[in-house]
Amino acid sequence: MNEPKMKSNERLVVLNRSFKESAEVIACLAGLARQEGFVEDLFVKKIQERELEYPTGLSMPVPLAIPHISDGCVVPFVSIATLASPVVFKSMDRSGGDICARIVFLFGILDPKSQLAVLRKFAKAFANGNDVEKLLKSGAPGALLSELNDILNGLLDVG
Amino acid sequence: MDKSVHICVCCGGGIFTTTVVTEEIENLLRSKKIPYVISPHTITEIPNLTEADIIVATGKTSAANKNGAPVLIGLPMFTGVGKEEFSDLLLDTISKVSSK
Repeated sequence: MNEPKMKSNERLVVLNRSFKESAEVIACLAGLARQEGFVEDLFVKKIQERELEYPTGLSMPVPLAIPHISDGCVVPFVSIATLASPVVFKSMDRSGGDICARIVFLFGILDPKSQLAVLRKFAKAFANGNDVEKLLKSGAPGALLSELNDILNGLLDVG
Repeated sequence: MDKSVHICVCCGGGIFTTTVVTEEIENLLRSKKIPYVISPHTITEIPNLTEADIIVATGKTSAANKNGAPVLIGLPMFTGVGKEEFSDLLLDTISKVSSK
C-alpha cells in the first residue's frame, strides 16, 4: 500500500483569526491550499457551493466545521483555522440549525477509502473535546500541527 | 435472514462522513453477524437507489426513495453522540425490512 498521506504544513494553518462569515473562512482555507498547489481553481469554487447545499457544521463538544470535497483536489490535505470569535456554519444534519464553530478543518480528499484511517482518527478527535481544546490553545501553527499529529497517531504528513 | 440487507450510506459528497459512517455500520453488522451489502452514495441519489433496503443519510432530506426504502439519519455514527440509539434503530429497521 503506497497511498499518499494526507498533507498539511504551517502555511495551511491560521490561528486566532477573525472572520465575518463561513464563506470567508472557507475562501481563506481553500485559498491557502491553492497557493500550495494542492487544489485547482475548481476546488475553491465547488467547496463554497457544496457548503451551501450540504453544510458541514458539527455539534461536537467544541463546535466545529469540516468543509470537504474531492472535486479539483490534487493532493489530499487538511487546512485549519482557529477562530478569534465563533463563526456560524449550518449544521450537517440539515436541520437548519446554526453551529457556532470555533475551529474549522477544511479537507481535500482524493480517495476516501485510502484515507480511511486518518479520517476515522479525525472523527474520534472531533468527538473528544479535550483534543480539540488542546489545538485551540496552540500558540503557533507548528505547535498545532505537532499536537494534531500526536492525536492522529502520526497519520498526517506535516513535512 | 437468508438474504443480505443492502444499506446505502449517503452524505453531501459521498466522501468523508459516508466513509466513517459506513465503517461504523460495518462493525455493528459484523458483530451482530448480519449479512450485508453496503455502498456509498450522495444524498441527491436517494430517490433512485432502487437496490437499497435501507438508506442511511447524514442529514435530513425531504427526498423519498422510489421503492419506499426507509431513510435513517446516521450522523450519530459520525459524531458518536446518540450512537447507541442509532444502532438500536438500525437493527430494528433491519429486522423489519427483512421480515417483509
